[in-house]
Amino acid sequence: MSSSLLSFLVRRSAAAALLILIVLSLTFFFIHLAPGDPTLVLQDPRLTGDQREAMRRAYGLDRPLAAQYLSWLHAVVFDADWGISYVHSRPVTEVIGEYALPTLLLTAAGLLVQFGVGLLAGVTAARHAGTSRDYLIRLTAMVLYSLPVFWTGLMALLLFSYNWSLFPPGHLQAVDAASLSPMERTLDVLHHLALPALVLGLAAAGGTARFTRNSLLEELGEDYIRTARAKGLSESRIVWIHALRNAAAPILQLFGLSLPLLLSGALVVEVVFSWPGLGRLTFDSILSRDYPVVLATTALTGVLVVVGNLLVDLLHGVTDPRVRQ
Amino acid sequence: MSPEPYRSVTPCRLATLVSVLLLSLGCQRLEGPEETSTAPTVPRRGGTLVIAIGNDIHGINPLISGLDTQTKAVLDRLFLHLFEEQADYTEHPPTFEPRLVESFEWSADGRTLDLELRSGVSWSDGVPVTAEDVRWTWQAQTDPDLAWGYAQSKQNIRDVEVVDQLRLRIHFHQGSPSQLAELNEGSILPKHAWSELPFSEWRSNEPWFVDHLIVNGPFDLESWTRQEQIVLRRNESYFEPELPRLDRVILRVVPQKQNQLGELLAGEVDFVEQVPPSEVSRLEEQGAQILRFWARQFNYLCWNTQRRLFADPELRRALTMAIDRQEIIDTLWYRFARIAVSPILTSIWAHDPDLRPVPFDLEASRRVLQSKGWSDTDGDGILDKEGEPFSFELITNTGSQVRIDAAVMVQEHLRRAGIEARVRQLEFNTVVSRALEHDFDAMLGGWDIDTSLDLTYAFHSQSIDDGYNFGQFSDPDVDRLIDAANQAMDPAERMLLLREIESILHRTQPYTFLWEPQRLAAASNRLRDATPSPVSSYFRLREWWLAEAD
Repeated sequence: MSSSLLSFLVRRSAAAALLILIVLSLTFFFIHLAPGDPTLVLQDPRLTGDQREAMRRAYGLDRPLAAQYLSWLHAVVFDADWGISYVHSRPVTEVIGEYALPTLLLTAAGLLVQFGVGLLAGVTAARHAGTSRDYLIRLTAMVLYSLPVFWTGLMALLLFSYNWSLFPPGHLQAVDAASLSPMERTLDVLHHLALPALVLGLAAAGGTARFTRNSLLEELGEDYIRTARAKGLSESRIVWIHALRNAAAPILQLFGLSLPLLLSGALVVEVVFSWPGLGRLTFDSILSRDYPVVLATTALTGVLVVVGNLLVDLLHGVTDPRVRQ
Repeated sequence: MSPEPYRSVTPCRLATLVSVLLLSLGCQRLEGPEETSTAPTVPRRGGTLVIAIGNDIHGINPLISGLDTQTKAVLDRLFLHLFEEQADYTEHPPTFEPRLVESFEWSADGRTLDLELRSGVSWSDGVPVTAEDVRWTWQAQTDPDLAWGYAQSKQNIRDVEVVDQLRLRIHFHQGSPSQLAELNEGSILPKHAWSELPFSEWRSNEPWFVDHLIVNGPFDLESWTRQEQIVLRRNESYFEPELPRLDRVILRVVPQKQNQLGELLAGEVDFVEQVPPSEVSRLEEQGAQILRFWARQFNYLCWNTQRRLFADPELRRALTMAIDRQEIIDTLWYRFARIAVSPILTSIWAHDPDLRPVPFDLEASRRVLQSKGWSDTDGDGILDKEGEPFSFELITNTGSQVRIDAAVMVQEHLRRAGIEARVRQLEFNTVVSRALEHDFDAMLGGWDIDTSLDLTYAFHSQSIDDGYNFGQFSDPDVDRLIDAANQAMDPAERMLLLREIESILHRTQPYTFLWEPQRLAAASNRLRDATPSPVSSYFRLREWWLAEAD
């Protein structure tokens, strides 16, 4: 790794850390200033004011907000201690670790579908620009892009699970997954993953296809493409190797931006498909005012945004020699 | 105030409507044995019951995780209470069937209770359940570091004395009608297994309890995949012979109600709780069983009695008369609710059956308003008095479509009387915060109540600053009667006092009591003897059984 690249990475990481700290601090104060607290979520006539105070003391919420902030910040920065979840009564890192895996699996599969289908459709549309195939792809892409994910999710469940039984009706694994062999269990998870990943990925694939088509069309009109054609290169080679490589920069930026977006999109898919994951955890934590979990998931999303952007810059350098220079 | 009875995580009405429509077109009739004379009537042992639940449980230690209804319902299958409250409170105060307790005897002054525990009850590791477990559980429940949510229920207990291995003496500060219910609050926990961890460390070590789980209830925890499913298996060391009947119970987390119903109709699950009333006909047509009971819940409009508009009891009564509560019920609840009359539910023994709901009478309402000086002087359709329009904000919580719809209907009913109610939906925590600070004009909410009939929480003036008297209602007679009712040991005397309170609240209308709902559950046809009740959705789960093999 060259020293300039290393310096670039260090500078970007430091700026990102500062950014995440600011975001977290704002989140800390906003969520604490929002009406309610963890003891108010349960409105039970038997839960008296005294008892709520006792619970607040147990959570450390009886101290001044500034003191709470400083002790939280100290623990996070110096001990990497994100605290104890009020709802789950265990370290937040454990909670996040457990819930992150299914979401990462879903998001990764969704990205695969988004860029696999989106790129293929975009390139096909660009190669056949102005033809009925192009119109069909653009129309389909627009429809996919426009449909709300919760609606396509429900319809997919209705058709492919409840009616035709092609896919399981949501969940990460079958009821009896514990009795399956490791191989059967892997296949079972993939079977359960297919439908939510398709729903999550296809919605975004519509946008990717349109983006790819437009970027590629610009490149296909350049002089070097005409030269390549004059030299007798095959159309596939021209499109996939030369034009797409030069059109890659904006598509890669889209990839970087898709990382956090897919995470938030995963919330809806997780709810519709009863998929256990970070989206549902975050949503429930906000409602139940589980402050430590909300802060940790916010940090995770912030890190994903930063990593996504960093990845874009690095990949940009790989695909564009001018950036490397 | 209770959260939404069937709370949707994503309030997407369009999606719901579309899915309801399409599900109704697409789903097939449930297969299973019909309710005929050939159906087995002798309970069968075995099988796996699958229940759809909206939210995961929060942990397996009842003292740190058992405050929400779902977690409590599951944990009560793992850990026994001293008694089991019965849902037989229609004619008399609820009875308590001994569970861990074999027999009990009160002292003459009602301050001492001698308990003898059932012999032969053991924890799942073979260690007997003893009086030491009961005493240690009480110590945990009242430990200030642990800060159990319902510790207040133990404040009347002075000491839990261990007489010998199976006998205890409970010392109360004073006799009260709810002391048995308060004693029974919380299940008994295993001292020998859990006392290793100091109480002060309980709130940060929930997984430790999973690793050291020992139960004495009918079921044990086989596995728990968070946000996915909880698998209970029969506790082979459970003390009742032949029970539980089911081999396993799987609780599948399915956040969306429509998906729960879809899975029921697809045969993936056997039991779904809190079915929306609008779904009942379709489910019945497709062969599902519908189980119902009157929930211990009433929904209300709370008037902030310290605001000028709502300070006058006669005017509050006029507002109630302007609201067509039957129409709200017919529209939103079909036949599965009835008009609420007072905070003492119509299904509870102490309720006065002669007390009729304040009638819907728009003309009478208008007359009262006019007599109070309210008239539409500027012709804008809204009553006014001394230049001030009769206009106020009505808040309710998001996440409860029924309440939001009801608020809109109330708004329309009041508009016909010349009153402007501006409906505002707020997130649940925000509503609660504003209610506790009395920062609202009117609020639409609901209370899930127990059978203690202690009305202090919302109607005693001491609960204005410390409690849930959101509307700041204050009536010295009501205060006095509540205090007296809470001390009355004789049910007949208590009933008279409670009916007197009911009568005052009926007359003064600090709340407009809207509706009492039924709770609806749907089950596959193979499920037998399922008896969800106000005590628990899984009441007597140990006796439920399946008519056919998995």
